[in-house]
Amino acid sequence: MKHIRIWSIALSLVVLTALIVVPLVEIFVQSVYRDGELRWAALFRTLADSQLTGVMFSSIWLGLCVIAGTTALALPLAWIMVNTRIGRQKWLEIVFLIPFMTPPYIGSMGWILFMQKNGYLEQLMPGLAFLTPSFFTFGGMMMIMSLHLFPFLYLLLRGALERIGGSLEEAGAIHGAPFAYRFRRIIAPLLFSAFGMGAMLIFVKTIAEFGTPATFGKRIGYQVMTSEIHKYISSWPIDFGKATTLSSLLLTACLFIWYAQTVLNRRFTYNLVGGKGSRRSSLRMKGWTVWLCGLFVALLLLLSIGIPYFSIIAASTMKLRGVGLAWDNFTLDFYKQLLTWGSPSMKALMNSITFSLIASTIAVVLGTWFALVIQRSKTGLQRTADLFSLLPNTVPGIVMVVGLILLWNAPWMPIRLYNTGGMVVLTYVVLFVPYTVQYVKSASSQIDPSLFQAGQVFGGRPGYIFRRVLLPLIIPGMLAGWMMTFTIASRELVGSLLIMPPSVQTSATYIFAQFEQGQVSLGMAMAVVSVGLTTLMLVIIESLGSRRKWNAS
Amino acid sequence: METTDLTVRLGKFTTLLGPSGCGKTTLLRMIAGLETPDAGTIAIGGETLFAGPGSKEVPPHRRGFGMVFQDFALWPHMTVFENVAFGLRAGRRSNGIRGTVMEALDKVKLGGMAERYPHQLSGGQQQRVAFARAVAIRPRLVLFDEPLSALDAVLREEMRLEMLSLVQDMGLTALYVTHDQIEAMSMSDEVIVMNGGRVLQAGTPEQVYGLPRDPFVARFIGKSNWLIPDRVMFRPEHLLWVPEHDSEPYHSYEVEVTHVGYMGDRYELRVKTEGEAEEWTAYHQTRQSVGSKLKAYLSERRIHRLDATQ
Repeated sequence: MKHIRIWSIALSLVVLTALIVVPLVEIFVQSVYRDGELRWAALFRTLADSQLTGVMFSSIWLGLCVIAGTTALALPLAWIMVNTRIGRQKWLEIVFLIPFMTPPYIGSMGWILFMQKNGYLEQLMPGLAFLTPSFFTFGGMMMIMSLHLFPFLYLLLRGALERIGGSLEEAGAIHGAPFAYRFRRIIAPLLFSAFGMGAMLIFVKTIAEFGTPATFGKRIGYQVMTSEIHKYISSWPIDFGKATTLSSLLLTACLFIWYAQTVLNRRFTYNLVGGKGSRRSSLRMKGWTVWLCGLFVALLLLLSIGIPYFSIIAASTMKLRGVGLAWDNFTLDFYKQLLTWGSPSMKALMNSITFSLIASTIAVVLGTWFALVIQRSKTGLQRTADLFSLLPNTVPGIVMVVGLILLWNAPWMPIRLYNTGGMVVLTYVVLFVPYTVQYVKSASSQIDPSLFQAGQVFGGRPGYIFRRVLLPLIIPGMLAGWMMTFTIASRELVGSLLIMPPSVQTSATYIFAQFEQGQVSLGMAMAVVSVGLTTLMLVIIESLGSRRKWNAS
Repeated sequence: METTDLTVRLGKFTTLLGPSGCGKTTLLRMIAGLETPDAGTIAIGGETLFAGPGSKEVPPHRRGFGMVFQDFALWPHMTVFENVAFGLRAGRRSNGIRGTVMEALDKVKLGGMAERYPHQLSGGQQQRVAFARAVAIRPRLVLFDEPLSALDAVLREEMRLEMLSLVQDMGLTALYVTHDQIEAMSMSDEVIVMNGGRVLQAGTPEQVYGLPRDPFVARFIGKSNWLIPDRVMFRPEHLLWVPEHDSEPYHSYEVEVTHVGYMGDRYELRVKTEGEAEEWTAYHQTRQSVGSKLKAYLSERRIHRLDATQ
């Protein structure tokens, strides 16, 4: 048994290294290794290129501004959801995940359609047309990205506020502190650690994001690192040197922030004392303040979900774009055209589903294996496996994809996977395996060791305990991982754009292509179908899951 | 919560006793101002703190109370000193903070730990800090919300004595919530028994134990033997094996032992009596065998009729 475990750890490390670490190392190697020889100067020469430094600072500036934007949205929201009656509406918690689950390129397209000249805003409220020029600026880009990313910060802040919870704040109230004093001395300091962590992750997610820069950013001419990497790889003149240099810069930045985040987190996270579950604070706001809070929540829902989805659906059901919003201009023809068997769009949709199904199944098997190897990451080897398996979550997707291209397209590579469907599946697996690892890890860490000891005492062999005790308890985690991988893979844009074999399309590349230079209506119909399909799946699996009668803890 | 009426007397140690979920913590939180009652008034001295929702509500931070929380609720990012000083700083009583805080900490024997953080202290020490924090502001009333329930049994006993003597030394008025009848009986000047959101009985510990007014009180506090279920009862220690005083009227019973348990200082017997529905509890100094038959005596004056005191 012990032998098997050691072999399993060693083997999983080998697999992780081959799949994830080697491609990333390849990026660094390529950026200093040109034309068969080592040239450190090449790296610095490319760096010194003023255009690249400019791009780098654009990314950083965008990251900082989006931190400010998400904070302005998420902090009041978290406060409202914890401290007012509005927080009792449980459905809101799910609804607020929608912006985050919407692929950013689709959200941006929705905003572009809404705000552009003669867009839906102008048609609905002609008086507001003057907003258009000021929207297609850096400010608009920051707003779109903040509206996409705020749920992430919101969840972290709400969690922290709940943990600070009833009694820590109540103790302040009873011992004579008015609200402002309580906020300054108790809530703000305790919230700081959660906020710092969230802000860093928002920063990383912003500079790593590709969807919005590729759609909205391109339109306003705001270039960031991800969009430049894409440009150097995919359009003439192709310059792999610049792409790898930018990739290694982006990679370094993300790894550095991620490291700083873990260090700070360790130092500023307090173990809150006390056992009993935190009670929701009942120091509630009253009267008109609740109305104000309700207005804020409604406005946020309108901006983050209402407008983008309205635009997408409207665009997909419009006979003639010139006619605009009118009931007699309504049609479902584009859906018919889209879903006609044998059409390019149907092929793209089927490709997406097939690739995602295969990738998510492989990712779940691999991810579960890694998670079980890692266990509670006690030994150094387990910690290494943990670190490696979560890397694709830390590293920007486009960087990971560049690494995979460099490795699998290398002249010495004996396995000719590049330019086949297998490469697409491999990319999806690498990009999304961390989801399964995390879900299964959290499911298995909730299992009390005494459950296995009881299994042994009552005569279960290791295989039997695995099958009858461990597996049933981690299946919810595996299912969640599978579902997440399928959902995200089926809409994935950047990997699909860069590694799809010639003349093969997925739903994401189809939407992108149609929006750029084709029939916007068809592209948006595809967006509705792909988002609708994955949402439907989430709902079905969620409702199956809630019928489960027991808990793993 | 049902309509309740309760009075806490100045300088006394009052306990709200009841099973979990009976509304005692809610009542305490209403007094603290953390929950809003639907109706009624709360007043301290001559000052009204609450007179119906909307009409007058003094917020918690202006009520001038101290409170010890069940989970201690120490602020993890502040030192012990800052935790205790919080109330003084919040109330802008910045003169002689150091002295006041250190005095409070010395009282709970934590003078040397002022610069530590809560997570560096043991459970009992955290409890003492919570207590020092509650009394440092010289509150008009100290509220205790099951403060000992997070501690283990040995520590709980020790802290009970310590806390009681501190409250008495400092002449504080205390309102204490617990579900532990031993805590309630041993610490309080007055016990208020609650169940189902209702106050069942209020009185000294002796009154509540000896003259319960409600079957729930009789059963919840101590052990009870019933002559007529829910109406006539007596306490196990009054069932004797020889008559108490020959001159007094007494009843005698033929009982059969069904169960014997050794308690260290005595044997606890379960006995079955001819014609009685419920088994009784009785105490004996020597071991009895199960199935043996004994003759038991009960003085007339030990029999308590619940309706008589209502």
